[in-house]
Amino acid sequence: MPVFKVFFKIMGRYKVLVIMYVCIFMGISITIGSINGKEKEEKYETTRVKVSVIDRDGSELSKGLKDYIKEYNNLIPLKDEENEINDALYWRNSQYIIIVPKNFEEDVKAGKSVNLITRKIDYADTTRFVDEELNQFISLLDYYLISGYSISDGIKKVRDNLKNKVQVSLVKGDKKLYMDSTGYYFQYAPYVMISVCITIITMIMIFLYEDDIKKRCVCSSMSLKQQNKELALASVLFTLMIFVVVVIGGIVMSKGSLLKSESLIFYMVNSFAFSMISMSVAFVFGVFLNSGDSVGGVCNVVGLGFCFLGGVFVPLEILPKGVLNAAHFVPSYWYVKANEITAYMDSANSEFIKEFCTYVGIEMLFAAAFLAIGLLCSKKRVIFG
Amino acid sequence: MSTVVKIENLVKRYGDLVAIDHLNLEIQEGEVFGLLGPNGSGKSTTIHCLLALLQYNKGNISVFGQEIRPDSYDLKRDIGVIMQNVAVFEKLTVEENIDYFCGLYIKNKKKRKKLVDEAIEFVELNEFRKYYPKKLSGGLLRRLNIACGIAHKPKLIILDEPTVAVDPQSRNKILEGIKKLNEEGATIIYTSHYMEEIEQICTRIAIIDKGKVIALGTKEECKAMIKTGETITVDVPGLNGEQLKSIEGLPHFYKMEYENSILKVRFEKGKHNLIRLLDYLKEQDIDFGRVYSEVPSLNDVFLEITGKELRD
Repeated sequence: MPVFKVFFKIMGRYKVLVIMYVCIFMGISITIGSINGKEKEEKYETTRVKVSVIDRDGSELSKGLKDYIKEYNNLIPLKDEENEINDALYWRNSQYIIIVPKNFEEDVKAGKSVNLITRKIDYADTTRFVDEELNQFISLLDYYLISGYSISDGIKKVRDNLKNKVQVSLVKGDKKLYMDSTGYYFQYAPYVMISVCITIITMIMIFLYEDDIKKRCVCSSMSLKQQNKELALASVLFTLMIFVVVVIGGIVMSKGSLLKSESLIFYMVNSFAFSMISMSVAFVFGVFLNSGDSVGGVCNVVGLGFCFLGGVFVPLEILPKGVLNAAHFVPSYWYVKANEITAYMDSANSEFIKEFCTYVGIEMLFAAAFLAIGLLCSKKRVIFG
Repeated sequence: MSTVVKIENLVKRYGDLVAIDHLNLEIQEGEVFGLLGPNGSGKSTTIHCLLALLQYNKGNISVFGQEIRPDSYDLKRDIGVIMQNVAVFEKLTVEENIDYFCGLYIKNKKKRKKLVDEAIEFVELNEFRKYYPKKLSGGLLRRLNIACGIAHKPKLIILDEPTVAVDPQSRNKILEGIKKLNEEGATIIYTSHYMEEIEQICTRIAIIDKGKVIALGTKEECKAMIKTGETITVDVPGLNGEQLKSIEGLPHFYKMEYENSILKVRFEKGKHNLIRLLDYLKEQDIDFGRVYSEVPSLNDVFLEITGKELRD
């Protein structure tokens, strides 16, 4: 099998490059996967905000309000000076400052509209909880005062009422609420596969299809069919090696838990389909390109193009509509779709399998189409004159 | 002797251009057959058709008595090809390259190893076995190219201009090697536009121009086809029209050129042409410098038949 052997002999000359590519891309995939895929908590918890209350009224109501705020937040003492207030917010010593104006209690009793002065960090989501707490306190107290309660009884009633908590339980469906690090790892895998395949398969094909070498091979007693068979076999074997490395990387990434997971088979099937696409694309470029110098450029353009357009590097949700429509014609889009449903899957029900098979089927069609183009063009290229 | 290659009425057109025009050739076993012609005369196209690399429009080509087609793999087993350009893998060593191309013919690993060693020995690349082609000089590269084409011990070896851009020393080695291959029993087809090489190694020659064979035979037979028997060149300044006319009157005179004080007189076959010319110059008291006489070359054959130089 001379062609088969020469493929791996030449690949051996590029082994440092291959190892470098695999290591760099795996490193990037694993790092990004680890950063993005940290498991998020699936439960809610009240947060305590750093709140300062400046009491200019010194009334029973203002003290009651202060005690109420203290119960749910961390009360930070603060002087009633503008500079101190600004510094506290700037240095994040306080996230929320409530200034109780003079005659606050009197105005509330008189039924006047009372505005508490508040200062807060504008973009902090947590401060909304304090807004809510204040609104609830004032509105409820208003009801009690109208109903004839005294200030002290009103405050007591409000605090008792607000102590009641609602038990929240999340409705759990057959989907996870987040993509774990393994999901992210497999999301980035297409870049590894397509880059390595183009670098090696395309490069070796350029050597084999070089006009003078091709002439010499065509003149030999080994049929062109046999030579192509050996080349195809070597390419498939090399692609499978890359596929295996990617899967092993995924298992390592998940610290072995993927081995016990139902997702493993789906990640494997999806990665296998994309590895076939990578091989076919590399084959097409191997037929078309004449010079090894262009391989690096093509590898970058195709690898990055597929990954950016297909939603590998950029989430599909944030792609503009036009780009998203174009992405349907990029095989990595279907890979990402299959990967996403696998990552969010809790159990493989029939609906999931149907959807998954559709995406993988489209990927395989892409692989077949690229292979057909490559075969057609390679046939034309060997007929000299 | 049996016929190894038979080309009958071969026609190859590229659109309106007729590259090969009803070409006929018969090459016998054990010959070193030279295809001589200027660039673009149709030598390489003939070779490509012979190797079934090109589809031709008309004619028949048979090798070892059988018609050659792209799928004639049994026939191809006995053919070795050395193309004009060096066709080797840059990423394989000398030994790996020869082994690869030999492997396209010979499956048995042990036998192939022996053949590869013999080929390396033959082209004297023993000390460069583990070298990559880019480390080899032009001459060594050509020798590697030849080794890749002959390692499987073919009965018919086709060499398409194998000495292009090769230094004289390497060229001589290559030509000696070709003679040796022939002595070992291989039939050689050698194409070149260097007439000296063809004259040096070929037993029979076909001179090709515009896709047609214009002369065929041994070098002596080809030279016998033309009128020129001897060309005498004299470095002689200041000849006048009358003197030139007198030279034209010398016996066996055929043609004459006079340019930049160089007089070139072609004589038909006959004796004493040089003495007669020098006697005339002495009689006329004409001073002359360098004088030399040349027997006809294949270039003269080409020149006389086509009216142009081989290297035009």
